[in-house]
Amino acid sequence: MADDFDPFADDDPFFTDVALAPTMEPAKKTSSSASSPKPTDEPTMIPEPTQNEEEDQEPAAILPTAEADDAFFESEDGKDDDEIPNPEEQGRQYTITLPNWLGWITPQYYERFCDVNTFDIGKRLLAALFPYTGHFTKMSAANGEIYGPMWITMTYICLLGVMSYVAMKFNSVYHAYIPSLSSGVGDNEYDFRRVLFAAAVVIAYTVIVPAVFWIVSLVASFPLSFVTILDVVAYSLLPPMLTLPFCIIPYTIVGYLAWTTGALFGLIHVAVCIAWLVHQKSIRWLPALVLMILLIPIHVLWTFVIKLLILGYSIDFSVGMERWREMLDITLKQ
Amino acid sequence: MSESTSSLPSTLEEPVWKTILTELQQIGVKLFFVLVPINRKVNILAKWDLWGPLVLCMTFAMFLSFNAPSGQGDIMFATGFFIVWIGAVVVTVNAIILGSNISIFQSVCLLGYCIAPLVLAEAINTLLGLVGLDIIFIKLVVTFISFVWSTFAALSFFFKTVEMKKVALVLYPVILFFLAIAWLILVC
Repeated sequence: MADDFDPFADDDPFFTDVALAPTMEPAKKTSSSASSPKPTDEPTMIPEPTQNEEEDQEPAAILPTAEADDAFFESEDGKDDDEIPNPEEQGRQYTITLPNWLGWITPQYYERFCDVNTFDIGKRLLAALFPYTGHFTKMSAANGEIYGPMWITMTYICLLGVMSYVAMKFNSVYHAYIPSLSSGVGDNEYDFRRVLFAAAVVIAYTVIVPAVFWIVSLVASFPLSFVTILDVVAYSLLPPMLTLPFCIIPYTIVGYLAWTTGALFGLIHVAVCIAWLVHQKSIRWLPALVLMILLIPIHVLWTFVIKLLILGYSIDFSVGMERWREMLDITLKQ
Repeated sequence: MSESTSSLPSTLEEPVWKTILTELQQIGVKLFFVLVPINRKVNILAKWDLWGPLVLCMTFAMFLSFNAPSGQGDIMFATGFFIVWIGAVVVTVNAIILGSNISIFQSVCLLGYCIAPLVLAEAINTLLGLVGLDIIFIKLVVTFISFVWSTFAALSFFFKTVEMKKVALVLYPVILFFLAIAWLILVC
C-alpha cells in the first residue's frame, strides 16, 4: 500500500498545480483584522496555529515538481531524499487546496457572510424593531449576514424552553389550567418533546420560508439575495421574543394579548421588508402582494403552533378566583 | 481521539492499564488546568484530546436520562449528547468564521472540559433528589454557580482569540451554550 502512494501524482484530485509548485512557503498566521479576507476562487483550510514564531521564519521548503526525477533532488540537510518529509517533524504546516465545488465545507467560505461586528448587530437589532424606517432592509441588502439569523433563532428556542418550564411551574403552583394539548404525561411533569417540536417549527420557519421566497423571486424574474431574505425572516423573531415573558402570565387575556402583539409586529416586519425589497427589484406591486398573501397564513400558523405547544398553560379565571377564595377562607379561619 | 503522536514514545509495548492510567492522568491535568483559573498556559490545550469531553458528555447524558420525566429518558440522553457535541462544534465554527485563530478540535476539547462544573452540579442535584432534598431553590443556586464557573472558564480562552470589535459576537454563543446545558439540568 505504501509503495502505491504518490503524493505528487498528476491525477490526484485534491492537489492543483499550485500545490505542486517547486517552492512552497510555510503557512502564515492568520490574524484577525478589521476587514476579513476576501474569499478567493480556491478556498484553503486554515492550518493549526503555530506555537513558535521562529519556526515561521525558516526558509521555505523546496519540493520537486511532478515531472522531477528524484535523483536530482537534494535536501538542505543531506538526508535521504526518498523519505517523504514529515511536516510535523520539520515544524512547518502546508495549506491544502480544495476543488472549488468543495469550498462550501470550509468555514472560510462563510466569512463573507459574517463581515459584521458587535456594533453592526446592535444597529440591526434596533432597526428590526422599526421596519417602516427602511434602515434594516437597506443594511441587510447592502451586507447580508448569517450571524444574526442563526443566533436569534437559537436564542428564541432557548427562551421557549425556559418559558415553557416557568409556565409549567406556574401551573403546578396555581393548580388550575387549561391544557391546550394533551401530552399523556402528568400535569406537573415537564414534557420536553413539546420543546423539541417547537424548535423544529421555528427552524423550519426560519429556513424554509426564505427558501420559498427566494425561489419565487427567481421564478418571477426579480432575483433577491437568499441571505437578505434570511435576515428579514429571522429578525422577525425579535418582537415575539420580546413579548414571550408576558405570554406565560397565567391569565388568559394577558397571555393572548402578549402573543398577538409579538406575532403582529413580527408579521409587519417581514411584510414591510419583503415589500421594500421586491419593489426595489421590480416596479410592479403584484409580486410583493403575492408574497405577502403567502406570508400571512404561514406566520399566523407557526406563531399559533408555538402558543399552543409552549404557552398553553393559563388560568381559568373563574377557577382561579374560587381557589383564591378558598385560600382566603382557610387563612381567616386560622 | 488525540492529535498525531508521532513525537510521543510508542505505547504498544506497555500494559493496557498503564496506557489507560496515563490517559486518565492527562485528562485530570487538563481538567485542573481548565477549571482552576490560575497560571493559564495555552500549551497544554495545544495537545487536545476528546477522551475527557467524551467521558464528561456521557456522564452528563446518563444523569439527564436518569433524572428525566417518565418516558423521556431516551430523548433527554440524545438531546444532552447532541447539544454538547454539536453545540461545541457550532460555537467553534462561529468563532472561526468571525476571525478567531483557533482550531476546531482544540476548541471542542476546551468546551468539553468546561462542562465539568455543570456535570458536578447535576450529580449534586441527583444526590439531593435521592435523599429527599429536591428543592427548586437549592437546585437553582447549585446550577447557577456551576453555570458561572463553566462560562468563566471558557470565556477567558475565547476572549484572547478575537479582536475587540467582535468579541461579544464570539462570547455570546458560548454563554448560550452553557445556558442551554444548565437549563437541561434544571428541567430534570
